Amino acid sequence: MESCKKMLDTTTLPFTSHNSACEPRAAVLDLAVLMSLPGVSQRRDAPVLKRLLGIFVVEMNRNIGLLQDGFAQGDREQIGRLTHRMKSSALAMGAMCLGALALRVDANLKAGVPLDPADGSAIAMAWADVRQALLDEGLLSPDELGSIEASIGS
Amino acid sequence: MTGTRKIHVLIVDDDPLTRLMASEALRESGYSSVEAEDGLRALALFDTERPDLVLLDVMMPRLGGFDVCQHLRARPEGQLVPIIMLTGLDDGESVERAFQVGATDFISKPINWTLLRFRIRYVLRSAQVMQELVRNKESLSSAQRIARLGSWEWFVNEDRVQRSAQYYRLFGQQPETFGERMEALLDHVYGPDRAMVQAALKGAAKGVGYQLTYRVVWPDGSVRTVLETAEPAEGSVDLLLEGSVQDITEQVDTQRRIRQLAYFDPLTGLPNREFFRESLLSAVARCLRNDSCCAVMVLDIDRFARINDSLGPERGDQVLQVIGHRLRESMGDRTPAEPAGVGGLPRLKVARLAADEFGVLISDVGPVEEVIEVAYRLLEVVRAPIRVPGQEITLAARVGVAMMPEHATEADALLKAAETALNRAKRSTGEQVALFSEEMKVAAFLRFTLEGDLRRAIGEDELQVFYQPIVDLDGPRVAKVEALVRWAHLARGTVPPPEFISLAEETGMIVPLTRAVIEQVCSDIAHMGDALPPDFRVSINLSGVNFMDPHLIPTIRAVLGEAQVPPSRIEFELTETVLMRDLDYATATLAQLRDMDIRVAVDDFGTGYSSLAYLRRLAVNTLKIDRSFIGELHDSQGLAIVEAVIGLARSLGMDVVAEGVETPAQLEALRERGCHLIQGYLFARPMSRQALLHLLAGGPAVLPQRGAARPD
Repeated sequence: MESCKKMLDTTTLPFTSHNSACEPRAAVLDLAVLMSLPGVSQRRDAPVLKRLLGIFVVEMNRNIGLLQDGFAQGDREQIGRLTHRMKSSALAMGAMCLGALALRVDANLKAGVPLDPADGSAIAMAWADVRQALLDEGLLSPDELGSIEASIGS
Repeated sequence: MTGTRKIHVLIVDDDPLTRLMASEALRESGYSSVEAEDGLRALALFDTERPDLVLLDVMMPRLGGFDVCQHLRARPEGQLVPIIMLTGLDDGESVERAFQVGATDFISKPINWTLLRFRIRYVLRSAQVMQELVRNKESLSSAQRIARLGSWEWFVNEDRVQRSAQYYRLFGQQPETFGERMEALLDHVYGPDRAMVQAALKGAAKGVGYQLTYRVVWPDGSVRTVLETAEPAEGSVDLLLEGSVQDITEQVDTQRRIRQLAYFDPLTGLPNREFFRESLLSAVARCLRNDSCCAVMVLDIDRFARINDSLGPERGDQVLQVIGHRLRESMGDRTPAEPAGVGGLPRLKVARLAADEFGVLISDVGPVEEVIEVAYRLLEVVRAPIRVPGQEITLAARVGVAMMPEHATEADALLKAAETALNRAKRSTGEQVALFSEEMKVAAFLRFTLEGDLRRAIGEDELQVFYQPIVDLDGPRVAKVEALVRWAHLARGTVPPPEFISLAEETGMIVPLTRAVIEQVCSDIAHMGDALPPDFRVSINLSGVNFMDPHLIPTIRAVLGEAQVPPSRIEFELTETVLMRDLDYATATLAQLRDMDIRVAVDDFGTGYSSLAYLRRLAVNTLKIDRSFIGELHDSQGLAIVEAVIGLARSLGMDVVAEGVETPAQLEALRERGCHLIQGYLFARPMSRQALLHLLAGGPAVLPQRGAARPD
């Protein structure tokens, strides 16, 4: 209940990231944004919310994996493509820290800034935070999350 | 909603999250949607789904958003569909590129869904306006195409012209082959009209509007007519001319056909009376201007009605066509059926004025002798044998000639003069060509006034009936009389019967005139009563008009009945020509008269065109030998003819009367050959009823004795 109350009070941003790569007040998961999505309409039990979260988890897990490969191979193009996609999706779903990080990497690449492997780690960490926030907030149960993540491999 | 159908949106994005959010957002707004995960799929779905709007992501594998947009805009059905591109945040390059490829609008990701809903509404409204604009433009273009109407705008100072698509079609051209400048038009204008168009363009370059009809030549060589209107545009800072061009070729052709019908005789193809008159007006004006002369001839075919009756109307028409063609050839008339240029009348020469009447106009003539020579040449042309199936016919004609300025200086007066001359030629027995004279004019005027007087005379009983005895030598006795009408004109005195009778026949007054004569005769018969011998008859002349009058028999019955005169007192005289005109009709009508006990005599026998075989069929009682044969009795041939007629009458069981007997020698010759019914001045002139009564009562001795001289 406490976490729910905290969920509803989005102005205090209870899920502020501890990721040092993020801006201090960038939210791990901005519930205001999430709950305002088309079809959700502030309803945690809106069917479309589960669908959105499912797609989000699948896409992000896949993209994070590909991103790590990209950083490992120094593939700027792949990294650019992935961060371009991730920034829009993350920001649209309220994962503000993750979105901000992806945006920054995308901008750096376009500006010709050399790759920094730490960015890849920061992005992965930001995603982990989002994932945890989904669980903590009860938006996805551990079984649901596990089932979704298992489907990625299949 | 467009109408009652839901707005349908195509969502194109490789990100399933975006697609799901977008479809939810659209669903909440009452729109339907379909999703495509890449560009190729998007193009395929566009063809099948025909969306009202496309949400199109920029970055996609295989075919990116910009390429998809370009492909869509290249399709006719994709030119006006709103496309909102989903660009990256702060991605100015993408926004610019989206504009370049024809996107309608853009929205940055992450998408503000509320904003997107508004964007969609605005974009759809603009698209609707654009579609209506395009529809209106298409309607206008279609209307222009149907009306064969093109338009143009000429920015004079820049010498730049904008022309509508239909404009080029009016010239059979494409925009790229026409020429860009305004004067490029001249290359397509029909040669003779070029100067006129060039002058108009010169004026237009100074802001002077114009309206012009001119011809244009298409690449295939065909010529069409256009009507162009140009005027300066109002409110324009620089000189701007606006124009419209319309193809009026069909209207011109229609007018030409109407003109053809209005001005040309459909049977012969010759110009008709109206056209002839207009040509005459032009010719007279030219002559006055140039101080030259022209001549008008009016040619009439003799007795064409008889030809028509005997050959039938179809053959009659063919004869007229032949005559028309011959006259035209003879005059060297090569006049086309219509003017070669716009406006103006050709200088025609030959026209068909009436049923069997032709007009000939000769401009710039020489002496009158040359004109008369032409007239005789035309008569020869008419006289040449004409072959119709089964036979060859020969016609004769009369010509009236009038010259300008001698006889008239106005067109109508000139034509009238030629017609007056023709009438003189027709009434004359020998004169085939008559040249107008002032005397004819006076005579024509007198005739005109006489017509009015005659009409009045008939109505007011001014006409008198006189009776000329027909003597039976076997009596001798007055066997019967011929009724002859006389007219004592109040001012002119006695009008010769040939003059007013022919006038009456021409004008149709012969019908009331004859009725008046019959009534007078019946009245006189009734008055004379018992003074008339039992078998005494009065002979009354009937003209062709009278005979063909369908009311003839009822009129006779009515008059006889009213006067209570027995029909056996009456005999009608008809010429051969009248009887032969329609044998079936004549047979039937004479039979009716016979049934009424009215006798019939053939007048002027020997001068007409009777068929002796048919004469047997007709209920005719008497043949009257024409006076011309009686006058030839001194000649052996003349004598032979009279003998033949007497013999013919006898063999047919008919009586025979000799007309115009004036001398004892004639009398004796006739008596010797068995002709005992005699009429002529030898015995008596036409006399009044009183004089006849006196004669029948045993008055002056008019009855002949052998060898006695004619009484005065």
